Amino acid sequence: MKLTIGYFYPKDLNLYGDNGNVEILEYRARKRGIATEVIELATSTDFLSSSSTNINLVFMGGGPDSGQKAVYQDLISNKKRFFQTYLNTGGVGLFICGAYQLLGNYYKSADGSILEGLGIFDFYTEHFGNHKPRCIGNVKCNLAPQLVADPCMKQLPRPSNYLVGFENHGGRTYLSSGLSPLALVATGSGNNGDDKTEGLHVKNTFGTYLHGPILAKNPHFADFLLAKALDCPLLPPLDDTLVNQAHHAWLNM
Amino acid sequence: MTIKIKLCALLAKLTHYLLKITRLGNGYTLPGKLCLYFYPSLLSTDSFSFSKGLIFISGTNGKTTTTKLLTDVLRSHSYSVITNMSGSNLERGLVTSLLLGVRFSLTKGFTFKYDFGVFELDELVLGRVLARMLPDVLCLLNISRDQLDRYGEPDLILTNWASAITTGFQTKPQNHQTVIYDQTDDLLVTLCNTLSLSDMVTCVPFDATTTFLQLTKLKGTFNAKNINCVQKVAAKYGITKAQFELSIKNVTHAYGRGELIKYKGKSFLLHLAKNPASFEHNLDLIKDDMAPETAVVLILNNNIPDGKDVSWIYDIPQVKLAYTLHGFQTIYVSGTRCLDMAVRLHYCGIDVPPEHINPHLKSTLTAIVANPLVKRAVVLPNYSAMLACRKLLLGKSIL
Repeated sequence: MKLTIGYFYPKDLNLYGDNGNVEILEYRARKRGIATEVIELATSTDFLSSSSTNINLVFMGGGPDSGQKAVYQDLISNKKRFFQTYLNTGGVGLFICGAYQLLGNYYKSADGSILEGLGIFDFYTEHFGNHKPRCIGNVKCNLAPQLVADPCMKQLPRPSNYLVGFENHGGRTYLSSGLSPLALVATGSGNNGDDKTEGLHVKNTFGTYLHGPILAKNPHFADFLLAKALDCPLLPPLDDTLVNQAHHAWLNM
Repeated sequence: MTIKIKLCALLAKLTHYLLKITRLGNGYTLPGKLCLYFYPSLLSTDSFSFSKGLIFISGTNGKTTTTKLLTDVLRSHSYSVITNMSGSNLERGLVTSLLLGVRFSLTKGFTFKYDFGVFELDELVLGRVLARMLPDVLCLLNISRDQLDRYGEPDLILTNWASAITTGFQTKPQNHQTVIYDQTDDLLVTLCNTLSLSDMVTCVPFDATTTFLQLTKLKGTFNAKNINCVQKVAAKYGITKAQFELSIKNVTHAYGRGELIKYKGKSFLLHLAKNPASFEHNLDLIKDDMAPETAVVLILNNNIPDGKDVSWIYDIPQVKLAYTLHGFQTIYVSGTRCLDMAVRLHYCGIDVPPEHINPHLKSTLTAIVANPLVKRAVVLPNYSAMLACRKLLLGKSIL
């Protein structure tokens, strides 16, 4: 059993400490004696090397405008096919903020210009300009029902069925009617501040606007991703007294 | 000086005095805020001039230290200097300092007479201030991530600065414009390369060499750069290297930055650590303090001056954080977001005992004082935590 994390664009897409998510996955895997490797994939990385085929968990974080611009061409030209195949065949992937937005059909800026996304899932994101305030603040949301009912999730000790985190985004995402969100918002904006959805869940693809980093705030979600990547083994529990306490403190904020 | 400015000066002084005697505040922000409410274009009026020069200092880290160092050096050469050493660096802080600097006497009336004005300015307000009041020298220390939910990414600050500087300096004759910048900061090099093309601005770089630093009690690369920046300003005004070296021998830290406070028989060494760059810098500094009887205290708040979100603690390099903290036998974690910090440490392989994790700073300090194994504590607080710490240890948060 080996965890191989494909960490995309670590230098360009690294906002709000999202790199911490990879550190946390590594920690939680290694503590259980699971062999773990992190493969960093940048714009310059030769993507044909065989090690990329062993990836069983993909991570891509949020980034500033300049970071997203820097990776965009490489993503669309060189990495698109990998993501399409990997995600459509049930590969586990966590995509935060700008990375999440790029999985959709397009991103529409305030000036009306359209940036084409990877088009893997049927949704779009729109920025309405300065007269609509950014979505910034603490978020508390209920995990989508299918995730709560997932056998992989059910066997995990969980501090709650919530996800908590911090959002900061100007773009508002609208999922097509067939797509499930990751969670349903109790406090905060989530995808767009209107329909109470937060993030995206399709097969084993997880998109979210939650920073924190998200896995620091939600140890059960970290373990869920780990378990999914490794075909749902029964993971020995860790001493999560402190991390659960922190999760509850966030819930009560 | 116009009547309006004179009235503002009186209002500012009265407000400042009332705040001080009622202990409702430090008195370095509200006076300016009030006056700007009645007179929003106060800074545009050219009412404040200096016989030698006006200097603004901005950047993510080092503003307060550099402002203090420059003020101390200029005063040691017998120049009269007005400054905002309280750290109140928004527009209202600048206005408060200027108005409090207005003097009144029966023989001379209202006067404002200083050789130099040396003011630190918050990175986000620099652009707005430059649109109203132009300095002779602008010191740009560095740009890095800090309070993302307030400032946005450094790129945005850079763009804001570039346009404010070019627009602002277009109105001043060319030989009065100097920008002094850190040549090791890529973003600033980019900015200054653009500015140099415009013929309106002279850009003077400073580096991280430690020749001057070694003459002082200050430590660390940050301080080497701060001192080198000050030396460039001093050189512009005719202070030779030899004179400069003499005047920096006795410079001291700004409050909260490498400040040693003795409290109930123990020593507390405060190193302000408010963003990834300054935290990492302080990790390098505190390696020298590792000893069995020295505890390390991390205090993380998320009050208004700190930025609401604390995920920046994951931008502190994991290996350096783990390696440095493993060298200390006793660790305490406090502040409103102590749990977030404790979780961060947990994922670095450092498990702080639960009884050492406490959001109440006073209880933490009491516990340290009561701990017989601890004689000394190195404290890494972020901004409001540093003020709270000073208040408890010294009885005053700023001055």
